Amino acid sequence: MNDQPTAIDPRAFEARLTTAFAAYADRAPVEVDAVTLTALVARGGMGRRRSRFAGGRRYLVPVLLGLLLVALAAGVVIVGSGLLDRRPESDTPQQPAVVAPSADPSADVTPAPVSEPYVEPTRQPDPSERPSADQPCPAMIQLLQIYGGTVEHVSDPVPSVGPVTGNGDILVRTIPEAVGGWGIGRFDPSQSPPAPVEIVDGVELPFQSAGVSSSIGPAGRLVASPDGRAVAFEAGDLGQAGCGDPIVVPAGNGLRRPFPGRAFETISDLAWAPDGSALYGIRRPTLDALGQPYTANAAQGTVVRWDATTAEATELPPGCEACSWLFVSPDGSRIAAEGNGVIKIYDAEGGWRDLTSGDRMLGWIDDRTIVTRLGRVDLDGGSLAWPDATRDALDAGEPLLSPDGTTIAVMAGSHDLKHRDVIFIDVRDGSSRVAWSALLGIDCDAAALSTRQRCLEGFFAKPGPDTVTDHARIAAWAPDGSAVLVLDVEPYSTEAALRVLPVDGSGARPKVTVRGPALSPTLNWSPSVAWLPATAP
Amino acid sequence: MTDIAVLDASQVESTIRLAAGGDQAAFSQLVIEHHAAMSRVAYVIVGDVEAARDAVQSAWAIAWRRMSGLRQPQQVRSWLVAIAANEARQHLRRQRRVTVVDLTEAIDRQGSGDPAAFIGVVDLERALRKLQPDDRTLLALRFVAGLDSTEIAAHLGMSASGVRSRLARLLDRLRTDLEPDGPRP
Repeated sequence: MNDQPTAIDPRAFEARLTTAFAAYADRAPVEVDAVTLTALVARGGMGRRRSRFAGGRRYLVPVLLGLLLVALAAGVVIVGSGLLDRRPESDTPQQPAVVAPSADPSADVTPAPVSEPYVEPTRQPDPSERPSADQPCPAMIQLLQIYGGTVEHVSDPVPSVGPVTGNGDILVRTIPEAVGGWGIGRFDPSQSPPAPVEIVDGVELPFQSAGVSSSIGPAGRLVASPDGRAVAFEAGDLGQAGCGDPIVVPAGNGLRRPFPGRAFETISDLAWAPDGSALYGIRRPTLDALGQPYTANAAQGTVVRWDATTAEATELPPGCEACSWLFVSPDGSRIAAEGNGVIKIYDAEGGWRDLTSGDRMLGWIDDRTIVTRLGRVDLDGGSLAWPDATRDALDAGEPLLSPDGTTIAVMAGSHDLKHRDVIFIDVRDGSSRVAWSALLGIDCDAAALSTRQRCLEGFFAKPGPDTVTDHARIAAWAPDGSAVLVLDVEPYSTEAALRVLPVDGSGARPKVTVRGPALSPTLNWSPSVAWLPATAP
Repeated sequence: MTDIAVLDASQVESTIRLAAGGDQAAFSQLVIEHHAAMSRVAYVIVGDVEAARDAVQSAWAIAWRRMSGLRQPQQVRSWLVAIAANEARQHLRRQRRVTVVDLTEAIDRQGSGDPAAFIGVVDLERALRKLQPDDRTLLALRFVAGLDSTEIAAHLGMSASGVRSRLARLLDRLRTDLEPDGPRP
């Protein structure tokens, strides 16, 4: 594949890249003693994130192996002398399933038997374990009284919550038992005693599993219309007829309105026009000409406009290759979508133009100005690149543009390595200021190898009520721009810490802890900015 | 990947079920089958042998605890690889501001392989060092683990279209980095 590379043919470059990756990955430490590793894992010898016996501990592993061998020898002696009763036959571990580790049957490798003294027949249940995000995991809606820091449990079980509508209703995902599939419900938090969740749509939806990610619920983002009367969600399929449609569901009682789509297509990046008159999204095929699912190659996408009244679909020319990050301008007259490093601007009259962007569009500042991670771009010409310090901060985190388009918020590590800072960036000139700085709390036992030594020397703070992890990020802006929400969820943790940080400089509100996996990926405040919905076990 | 055994569905399901129930022999079988793939992905993300080993062992600890939640046994490979990738990514994010690119070390490791291929590897390593942890993760899952965009999306909580878009951007960037002189003869 390296013989005749050409930069003109993307597939040739990908082939060269694949070869290079394979050669690079050959340096990986692939050797393993599976039995010992399994025994360590089963004994809980590995920390929640990092093992204190992890391979990086070059000396602990040999020592532990030695101890295991000594203990094994001792066990053999004891058993042989009849001093230790063997377990009843029914308690012995099951024999492993005989599976072929390679395609060659003659090369069958049966796992080495596990030494009995170190085998725990069954894993002890971990009380902290809860269903993963892709399982139905009924939880109670709770309202986080964000400025009071209290938590109120108020509803029927739901797996996760979605946006809050303009009148304060909470849109939720309904549980499969109730509707025969993932569906959408509505909950009015103002009623007392709490009323049941009202199911407004109960069809089975092609949601994808969130897999191992603990911080994101089932895919299929719910996008509430500006007036709160309808919610749209993204859908897509690999061939199920009718599953390629975006779907709009009235948030009140009424029939769902499937917008026209086609099989073998997927819809993504849905966004409403500000007046609710239209829904925009990016439509692209899921299979290539050979019937294979698209992978790294950019699928030719199309920006589509659906009329909210007639459901008529209109494709906006031209196509938008590898597009994502669709934003509608505040006046609804232009749609921006980014693909392959280029921002395409579509207007209502069918015109379009390309803007050379930087990387990662964040949204519209006003009707003629777009902001990206690298700077801002004016449709009338001219651009402003952010200062280096601002670009560094934006690169380090996941920035969010405020609803009024004046400020970018991002959370990034501080230069002293001991803190994580919430940084506000003024889009007028790219100037930045640290709005809040929190100590980074690191558990030395769970720290990565390269951090552990410094941690043991007391460089970092220990985790506490006032510290954050290095996974903390800005999750949402309040609808009125008065505050940001700092979300702190460690991977695979079942809990999430939420902090509200007002922009007025009054400091972060006390931390509120909620169940993590069921948090909506797009956290939404109530219109009053007094609370936001989450779920609790 | 050639280091992954080809098992029939019932064998995979049986092994997963046993492992999820705490059967260490079954779990060991999974380690034998998938450890190499996980290590290769983790190494490409962190670029360091010890850190990759650390990440993969942490991934196995997570897999042990969460095996019972795996609903689609046929996806165990991508599930495990994604866990390892995530652990490696988190490791890298911790190290973001203290990473030192030591090209001397890379040159010392060159060995006696094909000079042309080796130069590509060094260039690739240098290019990867410039990327964000999330971007390295995407590339590793695609080009080392061989996952398609749908699988990557499912495990990273992204949309498949978003994965494709980011991969396309990353390829453009790598092409610029690795082929700065434009088309080659």
